[in-house]
Amino acid sequence: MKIKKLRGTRIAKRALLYLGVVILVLFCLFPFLWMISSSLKTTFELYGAPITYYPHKPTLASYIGLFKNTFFIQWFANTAIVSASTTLLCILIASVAAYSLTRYRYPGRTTFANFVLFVYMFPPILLAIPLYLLVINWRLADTREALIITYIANALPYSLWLLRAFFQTIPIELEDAAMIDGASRWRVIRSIVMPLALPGVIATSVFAIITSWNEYLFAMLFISSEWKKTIPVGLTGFITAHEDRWDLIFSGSVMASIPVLIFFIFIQRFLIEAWGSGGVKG
Amino acid sequence: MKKTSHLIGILMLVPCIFCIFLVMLYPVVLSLKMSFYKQTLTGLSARFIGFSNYIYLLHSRKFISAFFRGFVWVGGTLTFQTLVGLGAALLLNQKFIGRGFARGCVLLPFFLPGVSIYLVWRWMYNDMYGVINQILLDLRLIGEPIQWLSSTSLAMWALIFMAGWIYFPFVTINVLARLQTIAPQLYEAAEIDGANLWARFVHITLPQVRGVLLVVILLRALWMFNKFNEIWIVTAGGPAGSTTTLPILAFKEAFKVQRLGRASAITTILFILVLAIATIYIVVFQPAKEVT
Repeated sequence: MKIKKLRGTRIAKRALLYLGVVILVLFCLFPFLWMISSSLKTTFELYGAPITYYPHKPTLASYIGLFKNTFFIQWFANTAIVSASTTLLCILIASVAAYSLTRYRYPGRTTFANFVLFVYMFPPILLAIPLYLLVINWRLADTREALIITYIANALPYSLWLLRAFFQTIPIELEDAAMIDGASRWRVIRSIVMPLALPGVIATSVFAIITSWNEYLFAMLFISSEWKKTIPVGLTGFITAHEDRWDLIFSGSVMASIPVLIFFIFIQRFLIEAWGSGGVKG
Repeated sequence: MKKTSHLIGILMLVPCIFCIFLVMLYPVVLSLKMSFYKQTLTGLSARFIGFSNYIYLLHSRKFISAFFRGFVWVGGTLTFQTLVGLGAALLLNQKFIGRGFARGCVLLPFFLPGVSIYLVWRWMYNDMYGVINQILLDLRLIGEPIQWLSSTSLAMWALIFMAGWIYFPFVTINVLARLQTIAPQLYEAAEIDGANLWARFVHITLPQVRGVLLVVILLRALWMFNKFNEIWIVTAGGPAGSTTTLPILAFKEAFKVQRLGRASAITTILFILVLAIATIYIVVFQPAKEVT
């Protein structure tokens, strides 16, 4: 009798657990699912009453409109070029610096690491106003270069910290042994450090690429030509004083989310470990 | 030999320092300087006016209310993030089928393109076509549609709910990482001693995650004070300025009415606030300590 009762509470507990998980997952996915559902509706249904929870007449019309009548493909290419260039350069600069911070014993390197973290906390709006003027001064207004430089600096502090944490986990003894055996430092970096640090470098790259992909404030301020815009700025442009094109916003949002989702699935397993070991992200 | 190796090490930092100087330090100095000038967007008529911008702000009701509104925004979203984040972490730390999938889903709000997410929320809050009203109506929780974003008393709470949804995964992931390091023996022992779920949470879990929770709350507070896009895209600081925080006010001053000096004074004050929190974080928690 008692055992039966115990089993009963156990099952009730499990049921409660699963209920909680289902609610949590639905809560997290709902806006995303709503975005997909809305992108597949006809404009009639999108602005119709009562609101339908799923598209009754699913259509790709909003996607066709997006590709045919807007600059979306160009925006997508712009965002990809800016994000890729940013990530490449940022990782290069950050790994050199992180290697230096963990392998050379000069004074002040902890202070430097702290300083970089400090910089990471600067309000973007604080930088935006003077940078807007500087970009004009540097004759970089309305160019991708302006965005790339800004994004590199924005992603640098976090990348440096993540990479530093990774390099610290690579035993220095391995490198010392190889150097005693006569290998040059470059050789050591190439054949010992790089392969061991690769997972960390990939993970950091994904962070850099996602932050640049999603950036809005600087892109909105620096870019004025319609065909030079990045996706986030392009999407907000679908809301104008004359009309709101929510259909285009949703199909565009789904398209913008796909690359992020792919990258996300790619690094998901690694995330909890990396953040547990002291990484930070805003 | 040692001296040259020091030199190489420091040289390797040069590109990094250059970037940070060019895009972050120099603009901050420039902004600080501008805050003492009367300056328009064209920059031609800059005129030194001392502390006038600051004095003006301290007497401006708009500024004072934006300043304190920032605390409502940060306090509100932080409470939401921390409670939901902690709850989700506890839930995801249990063993169940599909745990990996559930963990992935929980992280999603944090990674999806921000602008798209804010726009979806803006649409969901829409009083005529918004699904949030529809759900509440269907559940018979409300009798008629609520004007979430066009009501001065509700808009801020709508934004807080949205931001809480976006940022709670950050709390979850950090707490979850800590939870996984707690020895299961602790719980087993407590269970044998007859401690119930609540007692185990208060006496084992909470003391263990307190440290990481403190760091996360501090970092999140700092970042939430800086948030601009979330508010700008959903309400643009409205209706009637009821969601205007310091970053929004600074943006409007700079790019809508072209008062760059005054805008810089606003961001400088925001900067001091954030700097204070950042200093606490770096001094108290010493994140740079090398693990050797």
